[in-house]
Amino acid sequence: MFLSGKKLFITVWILIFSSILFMIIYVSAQVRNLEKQISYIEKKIEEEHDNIRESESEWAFLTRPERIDAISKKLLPELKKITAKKIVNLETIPNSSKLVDIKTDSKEDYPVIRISDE
Amino acid sequence: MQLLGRLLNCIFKYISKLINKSINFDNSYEKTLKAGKNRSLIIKGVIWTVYSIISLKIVLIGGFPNDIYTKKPSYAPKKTITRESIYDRNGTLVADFLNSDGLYVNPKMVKDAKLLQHQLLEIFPNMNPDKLYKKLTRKARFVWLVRRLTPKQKYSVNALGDISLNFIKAKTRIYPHENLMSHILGYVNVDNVGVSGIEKKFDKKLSELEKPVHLTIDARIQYILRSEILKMMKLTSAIGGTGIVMDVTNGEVIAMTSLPDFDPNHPNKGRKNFLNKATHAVYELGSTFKIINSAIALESKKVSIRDVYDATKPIKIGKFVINDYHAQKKILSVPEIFIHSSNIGSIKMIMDVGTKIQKEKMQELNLLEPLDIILPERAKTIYPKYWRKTETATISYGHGISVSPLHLVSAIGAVVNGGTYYKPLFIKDQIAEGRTVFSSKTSRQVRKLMRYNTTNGSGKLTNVQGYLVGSKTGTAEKPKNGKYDKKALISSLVASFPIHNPKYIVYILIDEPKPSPITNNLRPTGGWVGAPVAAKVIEQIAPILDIYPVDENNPAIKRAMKIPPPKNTKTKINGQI
Repeated sequence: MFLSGKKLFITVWILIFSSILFMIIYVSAQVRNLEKQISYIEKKIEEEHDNIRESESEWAFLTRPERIDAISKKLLPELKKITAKKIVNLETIPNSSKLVDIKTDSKEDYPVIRISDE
Repeated sequence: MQLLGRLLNCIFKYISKLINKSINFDNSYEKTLKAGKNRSLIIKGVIWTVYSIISLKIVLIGGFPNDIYTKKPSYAPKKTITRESIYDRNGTLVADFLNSDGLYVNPKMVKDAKLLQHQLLEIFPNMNPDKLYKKLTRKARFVWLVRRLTPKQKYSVNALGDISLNFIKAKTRIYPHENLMSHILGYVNVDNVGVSGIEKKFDKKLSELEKPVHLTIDARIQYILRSEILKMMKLTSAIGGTGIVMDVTNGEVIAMTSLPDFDPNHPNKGRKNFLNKATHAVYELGSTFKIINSAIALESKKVSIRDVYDATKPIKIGKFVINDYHAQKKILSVPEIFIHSSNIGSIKMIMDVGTKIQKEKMQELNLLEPLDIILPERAKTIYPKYWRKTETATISYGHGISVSPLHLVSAIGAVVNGGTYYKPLFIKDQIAEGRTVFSSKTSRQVRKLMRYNTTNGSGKLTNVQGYLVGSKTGTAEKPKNGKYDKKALISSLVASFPIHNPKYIVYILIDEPKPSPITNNLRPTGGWVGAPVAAKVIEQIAPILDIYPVDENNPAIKRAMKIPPPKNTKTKINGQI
């Protein structure tokens, strides 16, 4: 044999050591790469958050009650404020029980109104 | 890693030498063998040491908890958020932050200050030319020019191509609703530090990236309240106004406005309007106090809703003579005292109750303490140091004690909601802790009085069909130069609806309204200026707040609102104190 006894022992240990060393270097490089990827993704997420915030702010600005009121007066002049007279109970509508079927779905926290086909 | 590489290199060199020498046997076999043994020992030692360190490290990493993989690497992006957002009760964004650019100049790099001044003035026409020139010629390397640029301004500055001008990325607080909630939200300074309102109160919370704040305020209700008060201010040439909408079942403030207000995006332009009149200013609020007076009297059981009082003659207190504005000059029942807003009747009622009980109840209603709210702008009430009969008399009709509008609204909330006092809340989902001040019977009786005032008294203009409004007006003269000024009025109105089962209170205060066509050019009292505003507000907000209209002619409702007939005449006080 080319190597025997102690030399073989040392060589094997060197090989094991080298493999571990290689693995450690490889793993640490991988971790570093992944960390870079994470930080890049986090940066992108942050940018998206900023974009969402900007969109939210724009939406809030565009849907200000003041603006909606002004637009509705301009574009929908026939739209009037809801007075008490315009609000009625479903029961007051003739044959309303046949028309609609109000059920409280257990999954929802509001009543679901289904209009009957009849 | 470099060190490890070198070490590895060394080890391999040693090994190759060792092998070479081991093979090359020359003159001294023993010498070579000894040297070889020594080298082998050294190499073993090194290998075992390094291997042990690595093994130990692997055990430490794998076997014990540590933060090596959870810790953020140094090159990870740093969060640049400066303040959290604020939302209204429905999740509408009311305060946020946005990326923006600030503009600064390095004066040492300015080549032609005059030319640059001219160019910048074209982009920023509102800049002071002299101040700008001074900035451009200052001996410094960094001088702020504009803290917040619009994208268009940034584009124009970039187009100048001047190397002395630079931008800095910054986060800017923005308020999309502008003036709408200015006094509630407050504002931040240039360093994004809260200066007033919620911004100041939650400064730490908002800037340390905790949860966003959700207010109890409803932006839609706030808009309706603000715009209706603004309209009335314009119609009556008033100097200011205040409005509050509160949920009486838990103390949540649904809307609160103080006018004139300011745009928190540009607070410096509205400096003179910083005073929050709803929470920070105190007034003698006049006859709206009679709601509390009636509740105290009825709760004491020394006065019954069926009692009557002699209001034929004015009452003399010291050198002052107290009369009724709407003088009836007759014997009035308790409901009549309420609807005619009789000062004489109110004084006689409270005199039957006594100073001690009046003061105790005022204390329980938090009317003698600073306002217990989260906003930093809290008013301290002004009340007499020595509370004698005279003070008891004037306080019964809302004079001699100055409280903030929110003080009054929360106290009246306790009167109408069944008798439980809740402190005003501004943050959603806070637990409302109430304390009982009045019995449900007293509350029911005062609600009848308030409804009676809407149908037959000074609050007729508050009547909104279907929503069963109960109300009380108040008109107080403002003290000026030690005297009450008859032309400077605080005209107010408190309304609660639906009064048979109150859910909300609407409070309207118009500061110094003038006689105008809407008041038939008469004295602009609470009934003239406060009542129509409250009616318009209630009509619009009731459907939004899910209040279902009721039939006022329903027998059950009529029975609940029925005023009992008067019983007997009291003559304990005959007009002199």
